[in-house]
Amino acid sequence: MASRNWCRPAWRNCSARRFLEAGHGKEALEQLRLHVVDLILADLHMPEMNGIELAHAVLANPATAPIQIAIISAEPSGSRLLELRRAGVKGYLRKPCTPEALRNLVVPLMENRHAPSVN
Amino acid sequence: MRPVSTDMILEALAEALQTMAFISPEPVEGPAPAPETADLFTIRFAGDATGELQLAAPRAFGEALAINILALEPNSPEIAQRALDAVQELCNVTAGALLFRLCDTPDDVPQMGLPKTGILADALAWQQFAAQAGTTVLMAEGHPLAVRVQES
Repeated sequence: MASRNWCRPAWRNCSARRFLEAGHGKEALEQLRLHVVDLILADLHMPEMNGIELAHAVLANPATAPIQIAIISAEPSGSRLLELRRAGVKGYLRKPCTPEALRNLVVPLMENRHAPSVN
Repeated sequence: MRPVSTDMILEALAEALQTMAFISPEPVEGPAPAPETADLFTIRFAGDATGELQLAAPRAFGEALAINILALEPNSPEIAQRALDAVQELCNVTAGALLFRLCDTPDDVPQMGLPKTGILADALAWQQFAAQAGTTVLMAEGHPLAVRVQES
């Protein structure tokens, strides 16, 4: 969604080989049918399919279940964080955040190390 | 929850602008300019507090914001495509930063909806919006922004 705007330049610092964009969760699922993806960085609030619904769909499919999922959101709600953790989301970042914060979230997930947990 | 104050709204907007785009808003000096048309962004929140944050800005501000966020060249065709998206994101981040300030714990934070976009079709519509109680107008990148929160 709109987060793509500021994620895209920050992404260049995260050693990612390729950055695919999707306007909402359903578009992201389409992208997953066409491309091999290591990490999904999704906004919580998206039209059509939100970040939590996307996480459920990705993790329910054995073909896409190994993909790491992180959510970025401006909404600092504690109940949402609980929902994200239950949905299997591995990382969470509250906006506004700096490119460095994004990198600190993404790099461990990309390297499949111990990732920041949703808490 | 703390009551919404103008200072809190402006702090949240300034934080969002500075973090997203390295833009510092400034107070209006003299009469506030009224753009010919402006985009109006609304984001609802519901929970311990319920209401909406509204942000109005001319399209030229959205273009300036998109240039800053995406580091676009001034003649990039992407500027026009991303201008609305950029201000929607600003509205979203400002609302989140405001709600964070209003609440003592994350459990109290209201849930936010998706930003909606409308139009202030002429200068009179802008003036009427800006004149409503609780609305603050400030300048960013040479463009006026009007912001307010309405609790319901």
